[in-house]
Amino acid sequence: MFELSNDIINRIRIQFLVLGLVGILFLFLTFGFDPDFFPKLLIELFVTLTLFFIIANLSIILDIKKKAPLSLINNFVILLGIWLAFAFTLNPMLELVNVNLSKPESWIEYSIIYFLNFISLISSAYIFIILKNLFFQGKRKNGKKYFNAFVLFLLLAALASILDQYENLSFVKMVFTANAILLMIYSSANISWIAFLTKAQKKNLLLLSVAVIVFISLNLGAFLYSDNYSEILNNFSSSSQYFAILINIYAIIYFTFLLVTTLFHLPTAEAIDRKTIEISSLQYFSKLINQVLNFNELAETTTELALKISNSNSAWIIMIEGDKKNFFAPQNITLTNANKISDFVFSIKPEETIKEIFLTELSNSTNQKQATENFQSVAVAPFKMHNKIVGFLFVARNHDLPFDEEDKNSIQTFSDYATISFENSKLLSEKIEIERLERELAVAREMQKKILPNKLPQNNNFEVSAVFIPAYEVGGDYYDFFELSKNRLAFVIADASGKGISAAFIMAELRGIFQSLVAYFESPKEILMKTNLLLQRSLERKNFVTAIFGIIDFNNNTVLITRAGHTQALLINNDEIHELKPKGIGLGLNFTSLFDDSIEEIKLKMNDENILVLFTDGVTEAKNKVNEEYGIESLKKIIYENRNEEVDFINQKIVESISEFSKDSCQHDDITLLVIKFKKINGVN
Amino acid sequence: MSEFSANASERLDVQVINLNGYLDAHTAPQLESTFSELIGSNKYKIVVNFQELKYISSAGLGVFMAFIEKIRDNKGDIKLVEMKPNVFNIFDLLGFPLLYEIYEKESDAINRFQNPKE
Repeated sequence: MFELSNDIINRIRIQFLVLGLVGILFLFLTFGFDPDFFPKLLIELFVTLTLFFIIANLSIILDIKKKAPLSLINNFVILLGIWLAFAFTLNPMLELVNVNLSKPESWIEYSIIYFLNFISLISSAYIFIILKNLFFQGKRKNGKKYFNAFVLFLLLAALASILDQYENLSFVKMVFTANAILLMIYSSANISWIAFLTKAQKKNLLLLSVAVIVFISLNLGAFLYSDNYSEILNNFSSSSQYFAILINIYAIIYFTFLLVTTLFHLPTAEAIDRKTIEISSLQYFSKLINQVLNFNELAETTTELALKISNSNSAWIIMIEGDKKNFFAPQNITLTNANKISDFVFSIKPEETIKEIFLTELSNSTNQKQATENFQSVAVAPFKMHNKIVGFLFVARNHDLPFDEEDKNSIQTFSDYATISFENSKLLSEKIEIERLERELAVAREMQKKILPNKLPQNNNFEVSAVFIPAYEVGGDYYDFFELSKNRLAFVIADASGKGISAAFIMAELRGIFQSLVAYFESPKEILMKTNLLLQRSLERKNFVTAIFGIIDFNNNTVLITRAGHTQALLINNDEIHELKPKGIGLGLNFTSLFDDSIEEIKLKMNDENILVLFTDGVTEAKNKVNEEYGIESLKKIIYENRNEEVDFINQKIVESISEFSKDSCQHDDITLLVIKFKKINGVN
Repeated sequence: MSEFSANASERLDVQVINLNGYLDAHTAPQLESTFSELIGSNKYKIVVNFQELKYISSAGLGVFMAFIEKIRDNKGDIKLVEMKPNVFNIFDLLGFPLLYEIYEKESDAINRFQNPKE
């Protein structure tokens, strides 16, 4: 209840009330005291308040704000009909039960009078709400101000009806009424929401307007001319009766205007319908542009919408790829027929000359007519991407109406939109592919980082330094050390062919294989042989792995070293630099005894200050701007020059030298460098 | 960016593929399709001429591995000829001389196909 009263006593309504009160008080003071006047005024004010109450409650109950005007009017007509049926059966019914309301005597008759008055107030309120909602359908400048002024004059005119008994004051009511009616006419003109209705809706609206005008006229007639009814109302409250009369007049004015406006809009309704479909299709399409990745889906939607926009019976798309013409998304046509019509069109106008939309009739050519069943005309719009024609949109009609200028424009516009969406979908899928690859590479790099050892072995007998510079694409380099016992250390350097995640997987596998094999086998050759077999399952036929595997034994200062296709190792011994290249085929190239027989295991005796350098081909194949390779000789030179330095320093020098050489060129492959320097070895066992 | 071509021609029922330019991960698919076409038309006697090849990467090497099994199963072979020293060095490091017949002259390889017993 409190909620309701909040709604009722809103600011504007109080203002109206106060204005009305002040106006009537002014009249009252000016024209002297009449003993009947004051109680009558009180009654009228009370009735006006009741009207407010009813309007506020009805607005809430009906909740019609969100309804479309057409359904609003529809409901209006139905309720009006019910109301009129009730009003016109009332008199005969009352006579039947012998009740005379003009001279009420019993309490029953009084209650009937009050009930009638109450529901006639409701009906006025209802009509008022409907009209208010219709008024606010189309947004217009200062609409609210005009409407408030209208309501003000409406109420003033209604209240002024209590002055009816003073003949010389009738002009007051007349002035207010005239103002109210002027505003009614103003607010009925320019009914903009009609424009957005379809033709069928407009026809419907015509019928509804006629019905409303007839019903309201009947209602108004009842108010004005039915003695019985009018008298009852007037006796009860002259202002509510006058309010009802005015609001009915407003309804008649409004709906007359509506009728006329609708009549004028009817001839253009079809054109507007088409434009509306076109615009909404294009809107839908532009949303689609940013969503669809699947070309078939996009083509399907394109031809579906093309049918609507061009008012055609069939549509299909041809995309040109090289010499081939591919058909997509035929609507209401078989591929054979689409093919025939397309061939016919291209025969009279070669595809490369269709730079703009092209229209042609099919009916003239007799042999084509048979093939194309009953298609009469066809329109072909090219899809132009960067001045290149990538395809065509075909729409065909089987009715007599040929394509006109307007069709031409809308089909052309539509095909331009479609082209944009095709291009977007292409760009989007390319972008997604690139992002997918980048994510994959990020995963591969992460794997690589985890696979490589994070700690190098430490021992009094040697110093070791490792450098690993990954290539952007992840090259598949791998190195590791395994401490077999206090005095035995295994080392491995490997390079898996391939890039990215597949190379990273092979690296992970290599690590597992070596880790387990070193626990069971003593000989490097044996370990490489087993590794080759184990890799057979996971390597693709065109992939392989090159590796150098060795075991250092500090008990007798020897190194056993084997090579499987890997680039040669370097050894500095007695101030001389040697290439170490024991025989051996790359892992995964052959799985027969040919591989096993090829692996040569060599045994080296290590002396103090001997340096063993292991690397991958990323080092020697580092390229400069003119595609020259860094090469083995440059590497040998830099190592030799720095042979007396610490291992880390040697590595640093090598890296500097490589990056100086390839400074203007990007790195294509992983670079891995292992430098091992032997210490405190006396050369004597 | 990298320029590469692989042109096949027939000489005495032996297919000779002439390689030209840079054979790496980007151009390897071209050579793959050349091999696929030859195998598709049941031509298994293949000589690959490296005379004009400037560079080969590990992905390029992989192409030969991908087809050799099928070719040998069909009593054919891939023979490699006229490699420059830098290219031969790469094949040599990998152990290819144990897996493939490598000749200095193209005619030697073709003769070998003609007279397998010699």
